[in-house]
Amino acid sequence: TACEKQLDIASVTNLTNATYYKTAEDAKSALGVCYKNMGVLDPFPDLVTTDDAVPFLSGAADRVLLWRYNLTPSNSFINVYSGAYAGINRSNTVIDRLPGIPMNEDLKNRYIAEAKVLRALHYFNLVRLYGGVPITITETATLEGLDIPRKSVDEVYAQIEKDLTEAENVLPPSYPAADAGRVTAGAAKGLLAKVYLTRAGTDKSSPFWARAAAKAKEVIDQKVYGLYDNFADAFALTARGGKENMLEVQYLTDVYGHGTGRGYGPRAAPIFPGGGSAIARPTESLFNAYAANDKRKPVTFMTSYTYNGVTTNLSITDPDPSKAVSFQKLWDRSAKTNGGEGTSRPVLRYADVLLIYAEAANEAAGAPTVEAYTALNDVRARAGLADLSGLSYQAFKEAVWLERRLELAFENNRRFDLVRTGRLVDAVKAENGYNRNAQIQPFHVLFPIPLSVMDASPTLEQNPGY
Amino acid sequence: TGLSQQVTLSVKNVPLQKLFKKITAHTGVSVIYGERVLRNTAPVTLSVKNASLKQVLDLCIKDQPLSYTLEGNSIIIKRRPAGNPPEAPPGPAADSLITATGRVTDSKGGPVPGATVLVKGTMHGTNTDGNGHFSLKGVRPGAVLQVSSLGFEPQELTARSGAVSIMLKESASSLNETVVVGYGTVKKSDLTGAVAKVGEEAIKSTPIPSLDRAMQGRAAGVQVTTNSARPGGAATIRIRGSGSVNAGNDPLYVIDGFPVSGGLNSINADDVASIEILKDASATAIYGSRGSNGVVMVTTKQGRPGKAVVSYNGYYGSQSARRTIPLLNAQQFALFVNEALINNGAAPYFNGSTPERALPETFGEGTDWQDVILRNAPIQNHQLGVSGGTEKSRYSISAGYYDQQGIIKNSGFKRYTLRANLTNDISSRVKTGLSMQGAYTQSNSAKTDVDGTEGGGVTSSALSYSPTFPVFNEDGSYYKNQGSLNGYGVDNPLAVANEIINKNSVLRLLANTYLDYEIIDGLHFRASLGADLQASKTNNYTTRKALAGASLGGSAAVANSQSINWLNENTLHYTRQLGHRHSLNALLGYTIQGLSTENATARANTFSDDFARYNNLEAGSTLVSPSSDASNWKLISYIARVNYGFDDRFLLTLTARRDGSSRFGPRRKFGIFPSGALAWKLMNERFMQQQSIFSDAKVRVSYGLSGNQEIGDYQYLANIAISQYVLGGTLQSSAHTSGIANPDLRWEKNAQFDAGIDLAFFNNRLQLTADYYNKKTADLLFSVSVPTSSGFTTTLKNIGSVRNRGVELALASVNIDRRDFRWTTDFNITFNRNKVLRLDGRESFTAGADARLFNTTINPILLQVGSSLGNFYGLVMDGIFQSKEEIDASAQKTAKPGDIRYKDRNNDGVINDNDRDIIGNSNPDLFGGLNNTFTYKGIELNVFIQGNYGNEILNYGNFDLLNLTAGNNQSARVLDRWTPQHPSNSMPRANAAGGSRVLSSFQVEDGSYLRFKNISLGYNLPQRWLSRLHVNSLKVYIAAQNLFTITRYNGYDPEVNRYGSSSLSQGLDYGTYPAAKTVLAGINLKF
Repeated sequence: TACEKQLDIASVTNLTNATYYKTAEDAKSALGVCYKNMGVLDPFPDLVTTDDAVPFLSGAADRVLLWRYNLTPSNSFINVYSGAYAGINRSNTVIDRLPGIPMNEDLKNRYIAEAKVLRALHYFNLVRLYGGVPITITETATLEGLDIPRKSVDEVYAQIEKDLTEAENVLPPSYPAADAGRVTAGAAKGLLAKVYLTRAGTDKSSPFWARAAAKAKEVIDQKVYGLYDNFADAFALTARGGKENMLEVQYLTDVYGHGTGRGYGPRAAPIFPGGGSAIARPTESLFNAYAANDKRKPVTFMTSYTYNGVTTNLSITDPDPSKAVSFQKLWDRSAKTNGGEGTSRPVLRYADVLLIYAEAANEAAGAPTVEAYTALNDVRARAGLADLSGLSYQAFKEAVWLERRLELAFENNRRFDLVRTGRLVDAVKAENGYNRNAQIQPFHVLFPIPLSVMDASPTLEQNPGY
Repeated sequence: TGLSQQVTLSVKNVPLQKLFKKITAHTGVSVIYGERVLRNTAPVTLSVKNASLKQVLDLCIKDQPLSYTLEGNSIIIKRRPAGNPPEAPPGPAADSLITATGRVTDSKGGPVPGATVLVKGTMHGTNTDGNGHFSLKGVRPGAVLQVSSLGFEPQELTARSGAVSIMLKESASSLNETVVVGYGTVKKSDLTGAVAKVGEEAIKSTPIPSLDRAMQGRAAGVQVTTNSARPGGAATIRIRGSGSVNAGNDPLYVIDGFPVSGGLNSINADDVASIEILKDASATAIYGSRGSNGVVMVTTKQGRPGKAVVSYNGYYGSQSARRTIPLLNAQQFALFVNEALINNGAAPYFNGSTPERALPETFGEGTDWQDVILRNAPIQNHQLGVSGGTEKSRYSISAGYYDQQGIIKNSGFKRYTLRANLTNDISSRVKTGLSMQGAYTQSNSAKTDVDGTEGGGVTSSALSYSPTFPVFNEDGSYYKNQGSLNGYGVDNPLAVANEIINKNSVLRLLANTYLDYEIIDGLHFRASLGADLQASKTNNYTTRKALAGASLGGSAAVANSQSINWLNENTLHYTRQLGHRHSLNALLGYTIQGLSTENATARANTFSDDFARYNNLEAGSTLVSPSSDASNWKLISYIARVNYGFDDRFLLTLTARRDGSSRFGPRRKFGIFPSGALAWKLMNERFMQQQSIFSDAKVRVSYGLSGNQEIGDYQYLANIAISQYVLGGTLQSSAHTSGIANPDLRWEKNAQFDAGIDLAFFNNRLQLTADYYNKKTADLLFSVSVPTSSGFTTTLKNIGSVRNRGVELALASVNIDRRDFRWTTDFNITFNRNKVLRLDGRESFTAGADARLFNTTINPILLQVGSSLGNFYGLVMDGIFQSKEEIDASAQKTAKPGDIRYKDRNNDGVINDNDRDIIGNSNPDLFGGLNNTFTYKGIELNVFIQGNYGNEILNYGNFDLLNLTAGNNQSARVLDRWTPQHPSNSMPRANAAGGSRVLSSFQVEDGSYLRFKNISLGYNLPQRWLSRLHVNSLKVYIAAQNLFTITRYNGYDPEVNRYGSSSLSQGLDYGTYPAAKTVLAGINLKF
């Protein structure tokens, strides 16, 4: 009736999904949110569950509990889960809806391929953090049938590999500047190389070493990507969509930003809008692992700062967090607002692919190959370090491991590398600064499924030990 | 004028009653007659043109047993002794007759307007004017005058010449008073539902900033908890418990018939004549989909016919903190810090190496930061009003000013109000009226009730900032320290108070106008049109002197919002007496209400100086993204109600409302909410007439449905959320589905049964109202967790049910009633029990907001089937470890002596989340109020006590004040901490490495309290003094609020609610605004 019609009031601020997803522009926006969701990994848990950093101790709480491996499912810093599945569902939306949208077919297929890579990235993070997880590959539309059980690790990897291999053949090798940052064929291949490397684990005879090396080699041979001459350039504002950044979450200074620089800056340091938060500081073991002449060291760490003409020197040993050497790798010095930093947060960097290649080739061949040396030494050379040569299989492997720690510090790789290579427990036990006394046990290689996730899905089983 | 004025009139077969009304309407001369005078009179047919009034009157009483006299401008109709011929119209008064004059006052000396003064045994009489004055001509000296008025006990006196003063005593019986219910009024004795009334006296007796506080402790079943003691702060109101989990639990407020949304602090309590609280379904179902949390009807003051009455009410007082929390002084703190560091194997901080790190012994008291931020603050209120009118048009106009400075520096609340209530009788059948309230409020909020992540509010930083820190540097700037003694990185508390500015102003106009047309006798059509218009502006600025603004170069934000809430109501109302046994009262209506809101926020940072603050955003060199929002809501309703009374013994009420709301899915927009109630007036039974103990007795039962739609707009739709992301170095728009669509979303349904009894004893000296209720809310609008792998975390569903049942008692008694001394008591108490009957399928889960203390997410509330809402959930503290042996035998192998021992509830040898238990509940076992009034001659003493018993408070402040790390100041209670020499079993050791924020019974405290809310002593100046000053009444008083509170709670105040009226998170305390006690003096003056 007329009277009831009056009650059909739609939002004036939001469309509904019944009327959306109709045009190419809608498709672009729907894919856009997948890019926004890409960066679900926060550096913090990676830093403090390894030997790279110490949280701000007086702030206490879950951060300290995580660092000490007094880890419970209610710890708020391990919940990558909900963000990852939000991203997966948004990719699923693109993959399900786009076939029905009238638009350029090539563009449509490319969009779908991009969404698949981003979906694979989420599953890759999930399987590494939590083990086998539920797999959903269609858009959630109703409230029915949502509680699904965990799948095996192999099943999750099968889905990841399927998405990545389907996508690598559809995606272009590169984009014009306006699209810089979209997933390329190289990014899909690079990610796949990392997946294979991870699957190889500690098994020397694994066939995945060769597959990892081969995929990494494809990226290298594409010659689309390369290293900046200057290490700092890889994290500069100008590097957005640049030659070394294969996958990254992009930001725009003071418009759409993150607060990563400020968050890890010296406590209350006035050089940051809002002051530094010092939520975690580098360990001596990480800081001292860099050679004195390593060009990456001053890019990665802040050892002093000057404000209003007054210089404050920072120390790796001073317990005062306002005087502590700090991470500054992703700090955007031009930001004027609190949380307005615009530097990209790297997800996959070309240097990573080179090191994946070096490691995998050494394992596949049982000894370092010439090309493996080249890949490793390319990374070292940029850091101003001398070439390595004449190393044994084991020495080369350990050299790559060290290089990964130094090159990729603060980029969410340390924990995954330690777990992958079976070194997490020893590394954490060895890092005992500030009376850490971590209660780590072998089961801690997986995080617990977050309590809120368990609460919402009765069929889920918790990881052993929790 | 007088009897000679000309009248033109034509009526056919009308009852005299009607005819006299017409005459009044035509001539302005009132016709006065007693209730029984017109009994058995015949209807009249007459047609006159330009006849004198005398002629008309003579025609009217021709052949009737009546006579009339003219008194002033009134015609008094009286019964003619049987057999006597009609009396001649009155001539000039005989010499022997006198004119009785005088003034009728209440027991406090205030005028009683409209009182009837009657010569006993006759119908000769008059009414008092607006000032209580009367003048009655033609009275035989020595005749007995009867003076009576509604709500007072009648009095008799002997007529003599000269003015007399008559003081009427308030009647102990309030049974005849009128009670406002939805879409109408009803005599209290005819109520079938559960309705509590807070009258003008109770509202006036305590100076209150906001209307909701007037109900606190005054009405059974109504729990009022101040959320924050900040000036202008809101309160949480729960009527008969919390029935909803995720949707709102606040009652519906109806101001002069207009259902408003929010903003009670802009209503001036001085303007309010009464507050009625509709509690059971019979009373609330008329508000249908909004009635399930109870309805609060607010009625503002109306003018009365008579001479203009000018009144002034005002008070001025001073507020101070009710309590400050005892903390460590500088020396105690320094000793503590060193101990904590040494216990963690570190070097002492206070080692004499620098002046800041001097040896503990060298410190004295240090800085008392609470003292630095608190002050004694004035409070004042002034209200000027004028009211009066004629029989045909009445007015009541007032202006008010309220100014409450806050006891935290740089905070306060001001309110300016203007109100006009006008009514006019256009003719005897058509009436119109306007009720209008304008208000302008300004609040200056201190940064309190913050989350832990916001870097500390005024109080949370004052409690944690080290007492060894000075307030200022030598150059006069704020002293700042972000070192290890400031573990939370909070700012200088005085800088937080002074340099973070948050000003909010609201401009509000609430206007409602109506037209009432009596179509035929007893049938009224009423149409009303009203609007509640609100515009608010919030100005924020953080200067560079505050930590938060320093590196931003100043930070400003300006937010504007406006809302338009409009209402049109059309009702037909029919009242009819059928014979002398059946009475009928019916209501039928159609209403439509709409609300649209819009808001916008603009921000900027980096100003060259702090001069312009928020007044010049474009001067900021960093523009921060603006935001805006808008929403619309509409409700269409059909209402019907029938009241049927039989023989004044049985009363039946049937109500139904059909609501259609835009908030629900296409198939679920409309819902019907019926109710029925039956009352039996036992007192009117013959068998009750024989006894003398009971003076009134009535039994009531009711049952009905009401609803709840408080979930926000558009929730049933899967909306597309648009946000920004960056690609290719440019900002782009992204879109995602923000929820799962639920086209079946519908109302929460609340089914309530109520059985009540109203008794009065000993000639109404003692009155008792008792109610039992059982209220079950089903189809809860529940934000249900959905499996995370769906990509969503929650969705809104109708699922689960909650029951509240309880008993309410209200007692009113006149304990002593002597000539000069009177003592009355009002007491009420409520026992409510809340139980979750069903959740979303799960047996239990955790929820609720914590104080987000430095990124700790705790979810402190456990929802569990079979248990009550508001359970705090955490580990159970089981004393303190005293020895290594105890530790080895426990589940905490890495603990040290002096650490807290937790109960390993599942005996699995580890302490983790599985060992959590219910460690408290925010619902009180009982709550109530006790009001005692003593009057002796003109002196009046009022003592009002109010309290809760059996509820707990989750004191998040304990996470800071009892963390026993060296990172912030501590409660003085840590002086009792565990040391090897002082093995406490309740307070753990100092330990710099501690501080893991484990929620346990350690943070939960007893929240019971008994509070002397108000003690006031007043004096009504005697009439003989006042008459010389041409003043009608003058009362002076002094009052003290919150003077004593009996409680064991360690926070600022047991009346606290960090998350306001949030359904899940009641009874939490963190960084709150301290409660004040107030001493004030005031006067009430009437001309």
